[in-house]
Amino acid sequence: MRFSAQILIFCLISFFAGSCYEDPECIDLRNDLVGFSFKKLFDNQVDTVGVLGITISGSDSVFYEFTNVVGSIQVPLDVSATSQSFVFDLLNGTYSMTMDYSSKPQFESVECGPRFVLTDLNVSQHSFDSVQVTSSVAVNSEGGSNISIYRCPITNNFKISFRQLLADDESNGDALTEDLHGVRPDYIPLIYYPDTEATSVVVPLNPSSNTTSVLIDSKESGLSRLDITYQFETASIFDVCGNQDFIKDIEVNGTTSYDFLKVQKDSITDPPTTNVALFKCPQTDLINLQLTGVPEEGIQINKVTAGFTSEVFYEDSLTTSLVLPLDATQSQTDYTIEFENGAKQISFGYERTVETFHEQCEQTLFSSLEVLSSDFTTPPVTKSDSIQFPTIVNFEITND
Amino acid sequence: MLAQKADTVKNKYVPTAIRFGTDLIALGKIPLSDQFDGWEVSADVDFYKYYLTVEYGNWQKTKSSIDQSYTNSGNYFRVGADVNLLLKDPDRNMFFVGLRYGRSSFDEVLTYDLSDDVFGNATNVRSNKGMVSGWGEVTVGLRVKLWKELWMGYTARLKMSPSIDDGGEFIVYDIPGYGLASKPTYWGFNYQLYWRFPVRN
Repeated sequence: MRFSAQILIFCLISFFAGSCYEDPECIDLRNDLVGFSFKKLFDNQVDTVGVLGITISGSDSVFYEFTNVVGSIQVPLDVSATSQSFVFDLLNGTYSMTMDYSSKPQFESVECGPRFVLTDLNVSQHSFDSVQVTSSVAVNSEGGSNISIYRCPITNNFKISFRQLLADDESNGDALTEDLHGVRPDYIPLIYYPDTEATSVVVPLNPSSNTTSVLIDSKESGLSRLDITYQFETASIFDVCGNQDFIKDIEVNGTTSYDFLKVQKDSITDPPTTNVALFKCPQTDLINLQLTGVPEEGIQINKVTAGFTSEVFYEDSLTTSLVLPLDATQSQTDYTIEFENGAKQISFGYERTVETFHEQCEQTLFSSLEVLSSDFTTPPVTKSDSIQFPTIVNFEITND
Repeated sequence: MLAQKADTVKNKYVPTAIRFGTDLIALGKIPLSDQFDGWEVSADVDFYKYYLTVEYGNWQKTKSSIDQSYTNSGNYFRVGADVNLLLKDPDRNMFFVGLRYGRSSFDEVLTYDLSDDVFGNATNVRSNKGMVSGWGEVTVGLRVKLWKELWMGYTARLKMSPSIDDGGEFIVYDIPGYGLASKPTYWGFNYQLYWRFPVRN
């Protein structure tokens, strides 16, 4: 019986161990969301979509109101229903979708409450170009996607890039950030990119004409007008999209405040690639004067004038450095710097050579910079005797 | 001599008795718990050291709170065989291991109040009618003679791999005879009282 007693104890331990299974852990995640991904048929990559709002049947809530969506979004499903309608109010139009699904509660415990398992998600109706069910099991708030929503290629988005060339061999230079008042195509009363900083802009060309003029209003660079001409070619790339007019043979003329423009791609792609680049040549005539011994926030400058121009620089400014143009027609430039405690003059001498960069930019290069005369008690210190672009400090000046 | 030996071997596989019993734990739980009602009966018959075992039971569970309630009700049976590892015990006491196949048919009802910020509040009732599940078991236990033909016994069982019927209106929660459907393995324990009916010496 001793052996039997051991077995009995084993069995009793087993019984109590088994009783621990009676308390399931609550699962907090709500698996009652359907995830949507916006994609482009052209390259199957994620699309950026401007959402004005998404509404669903059975609720007056509006989701993703005025949101720029990149990647996937999640919208709740009614766990008490087996079908739900969606209205997507997007920037480029309003679309609808109806989805069927199976919803089953799962009883966890009286403490936890039921959770829901939503499966068999299926799109029964939609007005998008194309949709694909990628997962039929509802997702939770951690993210995920069930439905990929595809759009047909946009065939008239024209991309303009702003570029700053440097005094080197790099033919495309650097991206130039323009502070824009706006960009306006001539055939629609819409202003794109109002009060926006951008290194490139995308504007739609007129799909009903072979020409479109685009006005670019930059706070820094001024007005530019691009006259764009092009041809159409009708083709069907995707069955769901049918025949589409694709733009080709793009030519660009116009008057711009940029040094020159170059057509980079003469057809439209989706996503857009740069069709025309507006280039600025490097500025090789800017001398950089560092003001030393001044507070961190800078020293008050009433104004700076140069002998060769009537232009006034740094009017009522607080600054720690002065970047000023040199006179490319003379071997000397004189500046008058008006501080709060009085005006001081300084003259620089230099040598000039002319060089052409990027086949388009004929630039005067300045070297052997020196101080010819100065009202400053402490002699200016030479840091670099040639002009670079972007600028580097050429002289240090102490206002004592 | 040879014929007599053959008869002995043949005779030892002829059953000596049939035992009928009931699970006292299931009966004991009824007055102790307002969430459980149930009973279980069992029978076994010996074939030398092997025992054919059949168990049949009924199980009803209720769980409720202010916001929701769950009830189930169903019958189940298990059929299988045990192997007695104590062959030389003069009283035929048993320490055994065995296998079972269990099968349950049952109904479930889930009532819940739903509070949803988006879709509002609602009370829902979902039913699972005519659900069927099967599972396997490994058992270990004792059968000990107490007095005359009265026997007691313990059976510990490791239940496993339940098949879940997904044809209902909600996900099966509790399978009579098995336990929580969400658990791929489950322990069970019975304390049984038997009466043995001899059929031969």
